[in-house]
Amino acid sequence: MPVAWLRPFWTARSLAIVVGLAAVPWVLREQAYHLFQLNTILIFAMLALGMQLMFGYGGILHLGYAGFFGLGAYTSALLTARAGWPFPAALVAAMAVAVAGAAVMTPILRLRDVNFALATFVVGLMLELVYNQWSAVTNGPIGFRGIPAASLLGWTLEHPAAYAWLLLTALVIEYGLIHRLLHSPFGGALRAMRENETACRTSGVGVTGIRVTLLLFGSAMAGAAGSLLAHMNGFVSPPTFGWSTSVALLMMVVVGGVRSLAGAVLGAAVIRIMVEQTSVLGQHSNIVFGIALLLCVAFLPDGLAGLGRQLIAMVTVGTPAREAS
Amino acid sequence: MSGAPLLSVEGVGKRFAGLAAVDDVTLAVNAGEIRGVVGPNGAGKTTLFNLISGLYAVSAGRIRFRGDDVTHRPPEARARLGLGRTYQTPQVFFDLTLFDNVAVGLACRRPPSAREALFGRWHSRRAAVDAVAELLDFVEVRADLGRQAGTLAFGELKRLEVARALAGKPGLLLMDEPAAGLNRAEIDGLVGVIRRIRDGGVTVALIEHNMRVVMGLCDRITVLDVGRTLAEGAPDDVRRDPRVIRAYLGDTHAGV
Repeated sequence: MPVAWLRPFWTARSLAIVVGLAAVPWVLREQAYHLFQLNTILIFAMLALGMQLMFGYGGILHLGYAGFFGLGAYTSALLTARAGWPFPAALVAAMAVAVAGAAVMTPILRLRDVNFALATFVVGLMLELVYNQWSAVTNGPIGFRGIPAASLLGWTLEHPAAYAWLLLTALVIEYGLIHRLLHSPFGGALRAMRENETACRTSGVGVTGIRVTLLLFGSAMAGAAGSLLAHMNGFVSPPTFGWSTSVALLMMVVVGGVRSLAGAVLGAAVIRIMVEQTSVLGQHSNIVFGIALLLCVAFLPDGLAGLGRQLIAMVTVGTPAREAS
Repeated sequence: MSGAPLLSVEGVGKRFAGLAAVDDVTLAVNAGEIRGVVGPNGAGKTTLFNLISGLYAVSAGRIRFRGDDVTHRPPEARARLGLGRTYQTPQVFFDLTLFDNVAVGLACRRPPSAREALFGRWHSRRAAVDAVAELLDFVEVRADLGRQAGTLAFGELKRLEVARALAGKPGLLLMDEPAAGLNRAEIDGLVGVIRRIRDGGVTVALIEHNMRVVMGLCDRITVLDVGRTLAEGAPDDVRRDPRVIRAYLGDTHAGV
């Protein structure tokens, strides 16, 4: 099919995967610890998808991304706990604040590559500083407590399995939106931009508009993920939104496979599980991560998604199943 | 548009680190013509095209297109106003399909609204496919729309690039050495394509070293030398101009 940008999102395969995933919280309904892990993975998968869109597809390396995750989390926490807003309104506000924050930083999109990454790194540090120092609002390093559980249409989603379904819904919506975005004319322009900016510009496609769109879209997703995190744990604190989280998200994208949406979700799951399994090592867990990342870059240039595609191709034997990037 | 030229370049100059690649060029292209831009290597022809399409900022002078001053507009804005462009070595998207390559140019034709661009079908699927197929047929690239551009032969790549530029429905098409690297048969095909582009209402300005192409195709010729306009006129007049002969062949051959 020549028209990559008109590929549908809902296929028999994607439907089966979503139904399968929806069954997982029910299976785990008695296991609070595993549900907590699952929910954390789902939130990080949302963030990794945002990172994938910006970095994988758009080449925008946003090392302050976790700061915008925090912007959403604190906005939602404040509005529900202090101002008594209902959860859905706070969720929307969290996305709006993250987008507004990103809109303020759009001028640094003039910078490219390493310079842009460094500038966003500083933006992330500044946001983390605010979360730590502005105690009157954020309660500083101690963290913000007493965030009410999310309630939707009269239902209070206190059970982690119920919350998992909410997160899963949010993830599927985000995945679907990004899929649609990538398979629209915008997606065509995005692929063209990655290959030859000059040709794009003299064909009437402005590169700045594309980069701004990616940044704002990614930030909206980070804001939503932040809000969902706040209402999952009832507690947020600054370290979650620091640079190390941004780097972890980058790792999820690279390990999962650059320019693959499924890869971002897979990467989020694998990295979160690794974090959990190596937590007994304390600081030394970083050694494990370093080695894992090196092995991945050396032997799996297309990440886990690339490995998966190879396996599928080996099984089906025929035209290689290749994700339209 | 009686009288006013489609494109007017007024006293334009471009310096790189103090060195003038284009010193002082004035040039007017009228609607409906095929204009040749020739000159020895280093005369500033490609730099001039880069200034017109907005890839370089001018150091001096002014550029008007369809009466609008576009001197300080970015390349994408000029393209949307109707300034199409092809390159000496084709700047196509090698990893993309033929369809995707040409579809990028379609964006120029009717800029989609934000909603359409992000999530919409923009043109219906049929309309977009038909438009692309028609353009590829026009430039005589006969290959599957889903084929990867990188698999095309050099001559086809050049014509694919022309199709992308035409997708934006340009008023003026700037072609940088369209015949370079092509064999004789391909050049003949290309000359036909360029004639049909002009007959379709698109003004063409081309840089070309192949004198057979220039003399056979162009209505008027502008000769550049060391960043300046040396001569301008009909092909036969320019060919006989002693200043042109001197620039190409050197003083000793000026045939006094």
